[in-house]
Amino acid sequence: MTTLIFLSLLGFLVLFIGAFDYKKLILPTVIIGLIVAFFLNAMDWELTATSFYGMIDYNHYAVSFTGLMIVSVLLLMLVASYHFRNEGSHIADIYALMIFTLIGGLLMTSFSNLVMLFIGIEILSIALYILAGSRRLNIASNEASLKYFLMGAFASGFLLFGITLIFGVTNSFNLAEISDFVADTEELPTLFSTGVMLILIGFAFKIGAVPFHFWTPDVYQGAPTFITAFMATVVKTAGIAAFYRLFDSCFSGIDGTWFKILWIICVATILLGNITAVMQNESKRMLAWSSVSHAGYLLIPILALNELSSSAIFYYSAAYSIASITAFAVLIGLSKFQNDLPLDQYKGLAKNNPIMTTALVVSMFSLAGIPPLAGFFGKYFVFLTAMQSGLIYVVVIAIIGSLIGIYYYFKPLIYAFNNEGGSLEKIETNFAFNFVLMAGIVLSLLLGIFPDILRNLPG
Amino acid sequence: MLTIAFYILSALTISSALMVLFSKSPIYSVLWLVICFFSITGHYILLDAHFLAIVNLIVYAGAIMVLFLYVIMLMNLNKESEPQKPVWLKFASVITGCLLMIVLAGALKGYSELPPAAITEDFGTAKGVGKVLFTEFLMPFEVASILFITAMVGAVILAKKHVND
Repeated sequence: MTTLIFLSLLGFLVLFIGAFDYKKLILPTVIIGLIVAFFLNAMDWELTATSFYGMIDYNHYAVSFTGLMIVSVLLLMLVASYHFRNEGSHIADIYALMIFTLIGGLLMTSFSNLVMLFIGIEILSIALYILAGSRRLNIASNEASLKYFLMGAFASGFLLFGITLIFGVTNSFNLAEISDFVADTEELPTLFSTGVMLILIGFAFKIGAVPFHFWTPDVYQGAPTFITAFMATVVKTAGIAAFYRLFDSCFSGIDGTWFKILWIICVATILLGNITAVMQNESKRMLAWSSVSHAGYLLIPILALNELSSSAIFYYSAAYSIASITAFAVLIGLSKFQNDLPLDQYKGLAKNNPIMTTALVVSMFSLAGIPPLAGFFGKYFVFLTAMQSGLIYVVVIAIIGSLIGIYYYFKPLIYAFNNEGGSLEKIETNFAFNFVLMAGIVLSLLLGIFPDILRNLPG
Repeated sequence: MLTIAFYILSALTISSALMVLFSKSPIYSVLWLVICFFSITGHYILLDAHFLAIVNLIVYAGAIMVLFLYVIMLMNLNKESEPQKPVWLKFASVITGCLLMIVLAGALKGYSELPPAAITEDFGTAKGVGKVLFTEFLMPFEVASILFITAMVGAVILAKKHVND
């Protein structure tokens, strides 16, 4: 709970520092504030109590996911200090919006009432619509923002409609009461299943699963690269955490109504995401499609819904977030604010930029799922979860998907080690940027070699 | 008496909502939408939700509709600039919309077996809403302030003239 209050105050503080134009103070404040927030969050580990009339249930699951999101935002802020090194005055506003987004994510992982879920999702989304359009004079950024806003508002409408129907049937927004209703009622009314389906659609949109993925490539490409990284990691983690929390606590007893549809969504997401990513020649679009396919892998534990699910989702999100942040950081290092980043711009990277190349190799290997990196164990735990629930076909399709994935994750590497057309100059970086790359490499290796440090956290 | 009022209001709501869709000019659409919101306000009154009715009237029929009109006038929408959608897209949207309607109608059909919830003495009045808002729903009420500050900061980011523009 203290984390929520602290983050709100931090957001306001950053806004004030920006308003009084103390530019040098902004980044240190944000970094120190996020580190403090991380420890405040960790101190709530033993709390596990519902508070505020059962609005929030800050259990181990919520604490671990919030911790993961704070670490991701922290790494992204360090990248941002490099990304925005020449940028103008509104950095403080962008940092503040990112901190508010974190509050939305926190509510989405700790809600125990559908009203809190909706407010959390809206805080997250509204901040993102603006962040996607934060390069105001760039037409692609404007398009990304507007597209995301229109589609996102529509998806929120579906979610809200679903929540309304569920309230209409159960007369409660409270997760515990809804799950009691599901357990006590022998034949659930059709209206209830309709509500569940509408909520499912809303969530599938927010995490970018097929067939609600149409916004992903355009929005990911048009938004500033640093915001794209933010959307691919923190937002996806929050969305999937909320998805699992709701379906595990309320709708697990009625899997007959949503299981088949989620099965199709899951399989289609993995296949379409991976196959389309192969055909991309643009780095951000490729990473966007790869993030679509990873949403598919993250849906598998929700489909399986057994006692291994929460740890599998948590470990996979952690591995995926760290690898993605590293990959996007390399991309930010290479790019000079342009939207179009063709894959061959990696050409000749290896010779003069050892740290960036290592980071690129580690992140791509981790995303592809090659041992001993974290991404491999992420996939392994997800498949283990699925096998325990007997989802053999899903596992087979997911393995085919990852085999396709290996092909396109190797493309940037092949370019990076190709020196034919002359090699790239050494790219000027700063300490924070190199720190993120090193942290990404070390964390991916560390999580891969000792997967148990994180795996059993959410419990 | 109440049933007759309900049917009249419902007919008004549905027909004005349809007129929103079928009006050629966006300004007429907005005006029909105002009527639609007015008749929904009537529904709230029939349901004893007086506070919600007034809020709906002030916020939706008042503030938001004025905003709508301003936006339409500022964007200078007319027939020539209206985007033409392909025919298959229109077909697809009609089919999906009808499917959703069938599902909802089917779900609502014969939906009277569940008992209606008991309502309290001060249900729907400003007093009752306030009481719920500041006890049970205090947390979402307070957190919504973050939502609004986010939207305001965002509006400033998008609208402000920056030094290096």
